[in-house]
Amino acid sequence: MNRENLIKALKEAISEVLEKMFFLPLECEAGASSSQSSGVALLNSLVTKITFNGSFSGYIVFYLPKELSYSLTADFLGTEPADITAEQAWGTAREITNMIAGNTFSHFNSKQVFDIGIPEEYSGDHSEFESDDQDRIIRISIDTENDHLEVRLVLDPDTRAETGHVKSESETM
Amino acid sequence: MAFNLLIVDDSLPMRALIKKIVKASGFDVGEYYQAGNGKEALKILNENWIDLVLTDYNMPEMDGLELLEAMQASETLRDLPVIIVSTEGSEERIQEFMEKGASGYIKKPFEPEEIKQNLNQVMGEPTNEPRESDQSFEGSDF
Repeated sequence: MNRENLIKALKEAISEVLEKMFFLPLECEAGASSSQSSGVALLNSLVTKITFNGSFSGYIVFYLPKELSYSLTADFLGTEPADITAEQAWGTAREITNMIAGNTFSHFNSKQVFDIGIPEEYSGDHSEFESDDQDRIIRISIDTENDHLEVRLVLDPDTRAETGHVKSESETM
Repeated sequence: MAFNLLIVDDSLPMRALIKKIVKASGFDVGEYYQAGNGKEALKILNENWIDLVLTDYNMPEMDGLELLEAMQASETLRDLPVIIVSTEGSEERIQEFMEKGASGYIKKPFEPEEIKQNLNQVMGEPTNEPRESDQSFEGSDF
């Protein structure tokens, strides 16, 4: 499993999903997202998780700002954010996670089959994908005009990258 | 003549979006039915007259492929056109959909035009003009 190709595929998938399906233009920012403001943004996010299994396995975690989820859902349903229920907003977060996962592996290698799990709301411990295990965790920070989103791809412990040790796993879009 | 459409997806926003696109496309749909998984879809199919199914693949309880297989095993359902709408993009899986009887495939994320083209191919050109009041996403991509 080539880590650089996986990072590229993940970034392409995120762009494709958010720009094509949700009309959200993304901005590139220099440097890793480790600021306090992004930390606050993540605290106010809906967090969803989806597993994948194939030639390598793991899971993807997606942080979607709560307010943005309500706004996107309202657009989908042709109504106002105030009319959106929590379940509907979670539905949008889960669907985005589903599309990011599916498209990542399509971009990575369309000749391989990856079984994608059912996206679920995540309210558990974040320490596993907040750790500094650079061999196992890929972090993508996404900034739109008003919001900060993040994606973490966590590889199972038995997965080894073809490339050598990566100095910094944080990539910013 | 109006046709009845069943939309199957575990995501409520996605079902709403697909319905919105089909409505705005000018297709003469009589009734819209919705299901959250293949099992619910089969119940609706057995209780109602449906002319076309648009279904996701990855769903709990019964996924899109299992739904296809169940429909193929039924004398009354096997000839019903089914279009898969999914994030699944592996060549092998898409081929599997078509071999199991799918009439079309649309990959998420999609543009409204892709839904329209697939419906055109399966059901023929729409008989109605696209409805201006439903074109709230005109100019946008989905």
